[in-house]
Amino acid sequence: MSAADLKRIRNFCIIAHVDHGKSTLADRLIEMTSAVSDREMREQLLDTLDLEREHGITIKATAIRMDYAADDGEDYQFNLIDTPGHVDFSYEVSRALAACEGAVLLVDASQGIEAQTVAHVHKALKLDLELVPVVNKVDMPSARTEAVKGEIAEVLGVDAGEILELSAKTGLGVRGVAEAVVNRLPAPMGDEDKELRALVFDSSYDKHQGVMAYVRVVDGWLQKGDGIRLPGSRQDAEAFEVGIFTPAFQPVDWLTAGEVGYVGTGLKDIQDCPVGDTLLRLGDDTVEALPGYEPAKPMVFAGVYPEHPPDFAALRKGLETLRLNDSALTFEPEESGALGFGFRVGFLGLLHMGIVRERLEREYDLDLVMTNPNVEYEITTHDGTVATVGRPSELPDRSNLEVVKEPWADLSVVAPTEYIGSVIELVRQIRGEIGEIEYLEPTRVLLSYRVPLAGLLIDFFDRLKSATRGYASMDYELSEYRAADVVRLDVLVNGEPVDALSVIADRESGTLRVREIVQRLRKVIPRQLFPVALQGAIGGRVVARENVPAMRKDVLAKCYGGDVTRKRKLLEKQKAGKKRMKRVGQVEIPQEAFSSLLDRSG
Amino acid sequence: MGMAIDHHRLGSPVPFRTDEPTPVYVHVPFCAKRCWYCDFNVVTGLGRLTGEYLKALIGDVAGFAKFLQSPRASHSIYIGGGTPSIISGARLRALLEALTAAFPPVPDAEITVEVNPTDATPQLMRALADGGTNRVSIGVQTFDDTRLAELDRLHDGDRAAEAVHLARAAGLASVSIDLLYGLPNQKPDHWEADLVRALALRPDHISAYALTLYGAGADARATTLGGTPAGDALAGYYDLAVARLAAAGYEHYEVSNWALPGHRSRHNLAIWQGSEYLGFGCGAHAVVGRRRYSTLRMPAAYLEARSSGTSVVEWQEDLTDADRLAELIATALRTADGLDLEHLRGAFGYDLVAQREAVCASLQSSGYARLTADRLTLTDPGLFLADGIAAELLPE
Ligand SMILES: Nc1nc2c(ncn2[C@@H]2O[C@H](COP(=O)(O)OP(=O)(O)OP(=O)(O)O)[C@@H](O)[C@H]2O)c(=O)[nH]1
Ligand code: SF4
Ligand SMILES: [Mg+2]
Repeated sequence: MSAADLKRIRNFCIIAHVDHGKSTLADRLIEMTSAVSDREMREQLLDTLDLEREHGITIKATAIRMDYAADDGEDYQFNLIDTPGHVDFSYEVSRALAACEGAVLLVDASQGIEAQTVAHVHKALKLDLELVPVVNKVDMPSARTEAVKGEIAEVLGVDAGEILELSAKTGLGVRGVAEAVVNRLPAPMGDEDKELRALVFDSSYDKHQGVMAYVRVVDGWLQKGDGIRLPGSRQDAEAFEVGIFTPAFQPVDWLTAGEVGYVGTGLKDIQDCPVGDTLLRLGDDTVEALPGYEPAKPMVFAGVYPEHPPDFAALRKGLETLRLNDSALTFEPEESGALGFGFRVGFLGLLHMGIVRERLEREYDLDLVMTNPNVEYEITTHDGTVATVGRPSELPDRSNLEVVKEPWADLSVVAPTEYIGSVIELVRQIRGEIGEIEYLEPTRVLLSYRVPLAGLLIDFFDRLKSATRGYASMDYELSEYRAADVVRLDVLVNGEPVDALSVIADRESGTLRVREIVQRLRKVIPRQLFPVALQGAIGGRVVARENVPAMRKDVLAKCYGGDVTRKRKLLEKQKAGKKRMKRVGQVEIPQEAFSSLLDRSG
Repeated sequence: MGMAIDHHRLGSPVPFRTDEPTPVYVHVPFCAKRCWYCDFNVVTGLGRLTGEYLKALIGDVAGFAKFLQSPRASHSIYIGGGTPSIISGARLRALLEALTAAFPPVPDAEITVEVNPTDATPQLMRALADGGTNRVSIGVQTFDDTRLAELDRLHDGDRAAEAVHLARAAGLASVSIDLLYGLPNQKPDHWEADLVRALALRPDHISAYALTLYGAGADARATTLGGTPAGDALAGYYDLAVARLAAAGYEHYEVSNWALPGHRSRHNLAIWQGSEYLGFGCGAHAVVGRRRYSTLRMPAAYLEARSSGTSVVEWQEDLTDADRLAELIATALRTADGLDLEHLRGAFGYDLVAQREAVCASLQSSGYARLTADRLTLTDPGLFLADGIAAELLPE
């Protein structure tokens, strides 16, 4: 491909806060360029996962190539990558951005700039990407188009006149956006005559072709049958197939500098083709790899156990299969006295955790018991050993701990000014450091804090929403590890410690926290034949107690001829119910008990 | 073991013992008015069908006996409902005669008829006695007139007491009354007053049931009336019955049943201990061999089947050993005799104490059960938890 050809390529993403209309704009562009036939067209076309379609959110970034006939009479090749908006998946945005020269920034005309708008803009600017700012949903009666333009102009430092207006729903302004992509976003640079260098920005797994690497070719060219190497994972492979996204895989003869496409590698493990790695030609050993980027790091860890112990193998299989398409998922086997054999699984966040759970239960027909989630700690023991601990029962005794470090995050919140006080109060509650206030409009601010990640984990967003009557949005990003003063909170059931109920908390709020835990347990553990004593302990000292008194009545008054069958059916049901519970000694503990902190109603 | 029975057109014959006396249950579904809390197989406003029903029933019973060829003795006969006493004395007597002819009662056979206080007259009681009845079960429910009205009952407390006297006067050997506790608006004092009044009548047998609400309709009604005590509160009512009745010399021999010595219901005990039993009429249950079945619930359907000679069976199942063991544990545990551990080992190969060691230990230490070499029996507090305990005692 010549430099002249490169001029007619635009690689770009659509970035926005969750629900601001990315996937809908992608639909309109696809329709306009007829990349997909009318028959195949459907809403949010690029959201292909069942879960995405059901929940109406994008989980995984997807790419599509389109041919756009521009007003200047030329045909342009658009490579569009649709990205997820939810904070759990923001790493997907970073890697999608790394494959592009520019991005369309969408802002909802009623909502205005939100926390993730800002976060994504920062990511794009860090990569020196050009932005086309667009106000979307201008058709809505609640649209505040001019005010929102003002916000965008303020944050991006651009002239409000450059900001486009769009209704992705009605189609108004779509062509304007496409023209801006042509005229304002740069064409890719790159040299077809140089040695091959292609950035792996995503991957998926195909039964026949193994790992499919999604690449942005930076220099050189690649065709089917070429030998390739991945310096990061030190793997050699063959390009079984090269192709483009239509959005389905469509083989082509070759991919050249500036283009986006896929390479079927035949590799069996997604770890052998990590995103962020560079794809080089086999033999080009001296070629320098591209900068790449950090792989996604799980932030939340939880024990995942099969409800029926024999399902352990199926659970392993399920996790292994999901990981083929989800490099952010980590897992290690572990054993619990109460729950048997399971895994400690690392997730990007609670949404990711919920999605993985749902997929395991649905696609692999498993019933799962999950523990309360926690962050991962970095510990140093007295003998100088450094380790990471993602499981409460593995946190050593204080007597054997030199240092514990916990992850901190940069938190940004966008909220109306009247709620600044409430937000500050919430941030204080999670031990956060108060940071800056930036005015987006006279009545809306962007607040920045540094907070322990553990504080954000469980219900911070819900609490933020209720403290701001739904008007706040948030985003966060891992920033650093800091020394922490944490303790393990243990729960004893009738005197027996139950490992799967332990959690880690900061020392100061430990007592309060463990009290809250045993109180929640008292509510979820049903009354049974024998009384249940619940104790919360810190370092072996009991600091909280609750009792579940024994039942007094559990019998049907009458049991004559016709009642006997009914009675037996009831017994069978009771027995099945018991099977679903986990037994500790004589006590039956329902599954919810192990993730009691996630129960919002408690 | 004798011949196969299929008089009720079960579809497949079932081996049937002819050597042992059997309990026989007969269902009379008619009631004058439906009480809102009632969960029995009951119809109202079909009084005109009673004559025809009785005729069909007698034909059914006689046909069954004929089918058996060699007669089988009855261990007990129980005519329940519904309201059997809604039928005239003369007809009841004819039914009793047909039953005793078909299934000759053993010498000490217990023959029970349920009587609604509304129907109690000297004539009725005499007809029952003449027909061979030696036990009546009178549906008192409560002596509290306000509660009776709220329950949709058609009699008052005095009428209920009167029924007991009439039964005694007719020479019926064993008189039982039914009481209900945990009624809407029933305070503990009210319940205590009921117990005092019941004891003053000195019936031979008292059934005291916690009101059980089946279905949303009953729930809603109870709520409208003012709600019923639940769980712990209800246990207080039970405790009161346990204490009062024990003090008056009654033996607590089943969760909801108390008797003066020699007056336990042999019919029901046999069923709780896993006996076979026969059932006649609509919505009656029977267990023959491993087969459990029930007959058509609707009187019209039953009449139709009888007259056309088609099957009267509405539902049936064959019990596995595991089913029978589960049922035996669930029902026998309700009785004062409890579980016969040797029988569980011998008949089912189930060594309960060995396999349920920890549970047995906890049951004993918490005062819910007593364990001897050959029996596990529940205490009074244990009986009120019998279902939960049964679930713990089943094999894995
Ligand atoms: N009225 C109106 N609604 C729109 C417009 N654009 C998108 N929507 C609606 O907004 C909702 C969210 O749109 P999506 O395209 O799924 O948003 P998204 O940014 O891809 O969402 P995530 O992938 O979950 O971050 C959908 O219900 C769309 O129909 C618009 O221009 N006008
Ligand atoms: S009289 Fe007895 S059987 Fe008839 S409806 Fe009332 S409670 Fe039920
Ligand atoms: Mg989307």
